[in-house]
Amino acid sequence: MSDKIFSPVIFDLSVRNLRLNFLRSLLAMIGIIIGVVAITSMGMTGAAFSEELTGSLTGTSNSITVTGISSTGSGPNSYMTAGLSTKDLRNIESAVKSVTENYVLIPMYTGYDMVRPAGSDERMQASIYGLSTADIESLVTVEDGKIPTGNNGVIIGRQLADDYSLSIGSRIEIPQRNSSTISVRIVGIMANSGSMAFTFSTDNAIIGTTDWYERFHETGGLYSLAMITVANLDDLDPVIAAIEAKMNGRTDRTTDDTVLISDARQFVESMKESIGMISVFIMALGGISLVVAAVSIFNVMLMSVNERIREIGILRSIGTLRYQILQMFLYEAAIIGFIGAVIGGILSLIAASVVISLMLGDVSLMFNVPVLMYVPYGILIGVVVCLLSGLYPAWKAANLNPVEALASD
Amino acid sequence: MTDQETPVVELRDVYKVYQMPAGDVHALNGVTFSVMPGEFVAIMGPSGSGKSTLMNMIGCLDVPTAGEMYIDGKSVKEMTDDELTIHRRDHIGFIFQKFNLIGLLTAYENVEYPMILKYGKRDDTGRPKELLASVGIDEAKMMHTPFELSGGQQQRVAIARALANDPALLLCDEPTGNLDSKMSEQIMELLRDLNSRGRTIIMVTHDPHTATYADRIIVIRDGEIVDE
Repeated sequence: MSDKIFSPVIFDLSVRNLRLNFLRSLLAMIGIIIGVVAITSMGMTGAAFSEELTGSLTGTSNSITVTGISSTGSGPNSYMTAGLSTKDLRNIESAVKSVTENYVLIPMYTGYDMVRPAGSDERMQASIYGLSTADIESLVTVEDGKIPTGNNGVIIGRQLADDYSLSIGSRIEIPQRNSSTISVRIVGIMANSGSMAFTFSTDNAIIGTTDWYERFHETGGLYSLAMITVANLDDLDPVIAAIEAKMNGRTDRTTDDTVLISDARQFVESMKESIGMISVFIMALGGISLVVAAVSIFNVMLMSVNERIREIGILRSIGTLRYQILQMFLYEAAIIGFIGAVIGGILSLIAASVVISLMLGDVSLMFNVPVLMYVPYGILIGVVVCLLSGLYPAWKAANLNPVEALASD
Repeated sequence: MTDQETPVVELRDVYKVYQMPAGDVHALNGVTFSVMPGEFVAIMGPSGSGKSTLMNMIGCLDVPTAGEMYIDGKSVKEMTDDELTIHRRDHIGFIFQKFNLIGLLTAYENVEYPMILKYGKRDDTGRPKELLASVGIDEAKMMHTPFELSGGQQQRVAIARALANDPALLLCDEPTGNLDSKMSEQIMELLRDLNSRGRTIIMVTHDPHTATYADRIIVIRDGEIVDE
């Protein structure tokens, strides 16, 4: 019988009953709308965030970072025990060269310090880099001022400048270990990359020349890391393998690796994973509202069953089968769920666009397939939740004893 | 009705016991009788005598605790809930004291409903209208919901509904219990007319006057048949 799958007359009864109890149905629907909006817009925001991250990191995905992890003949300075010596750098460079000629190798010093703008008590965390002037020039985009040369000053990130109202000519004080401070002049401001870059977090960076850096940090002639960028992405894996073989391959002599090679792609993956986990967590929070909605639908359906016991008795006595009664109540749950979830899906587009434009400043991030996919998923979850919460009331209705049901008032 | 030898309903030593917290209630204590096609049987008895239980049993809404019951020669013990439901749908027409129309549906739709259940589609034969007309419900009233109709009109709609799938057996539970005497008279005339055209009718009543329309009266007391 075709009505096993869909029965128009039973569906019609469901619709009429929902219309009869319009307010109650509407309230249950609002619950589902809120639940769907919560999980969908949260999910979309997380996905948009992930999209933005991927987009901003594709620029650095063809680069790797080589960090020295064991010091070769370091002095008594415990502050700087690991690094890349000039010999290490030569070895790395020759390893890269064995694969490709199209590469850029930038050795740099990096460190974190609490610094403060001159004449201020406010301390801020900053990444401090020391690079050669030529390398600074190739890495950053100057927005204002100029590239530092020699010891004449530093160039800082736009974010840092804005946050602490720093401008060209301002001075920054960097505290030293012997409780003195080094004061440095700002000669340039970098364009805001608006994103996280792999090696460089330019927004929060203070960049000076290697000469300048060496003046106040005992580097021991060891660079913190080397950034290698290859022109062709396909060369990346062979380059990694070559450096790995050259630097870490001599396992007969030392048990420890000499350098650590980080690949931007791994970084992107792990960042995406973290963001994914955070999104799931936030969606779970949104899911609580869906649970509340499920409880309210459960309640509405139970009330609907209890109010209609007699009607169920009549329907059963004149030949309505159990599964048709089950169908009738499941249709009700499905109608509430479907309308609610679709409205919720539409509203979550609006909600997500607001959240995304406020948090990420770019609504266009929303119009990516992985982001928009949350809308149908959210709708589907909403409908499924409704059906699940309608299951017990429907089952209860279907299994009423027709004699007792008929006798009730 | 093709086979005159098979009773429409046959009960053999039927017991019905309801288990209640306060103890077992013996609603039927060994009831034996049968109804042949074309009969008009009235079941009489005071309230609590077990006549409603008997009615539910004949209507396949309930099954015996012990004893045998046959519907058109088939033992109900061997029938599933779905089979009993389909039997109610196709072979029994129910007429209740409280009319029991579906409030969500119009008079027309109430009559059409059992047909949709049976055939899985909306009616295209015009039968609901014919039935409603035959019980005296005019075209305008057909689109009203039960709440907009008088008691007598509701019972007429209920009779039309009971006839929708052309059942062999009409089961009437106090069909005139909620109607005034003039209405009752009309409803009983309608039932007698249906019986005269070959339909089997079993009617529960405690009104002796209503019972006179039947050609056989079964009196039940304390779950047993005391007079026939």
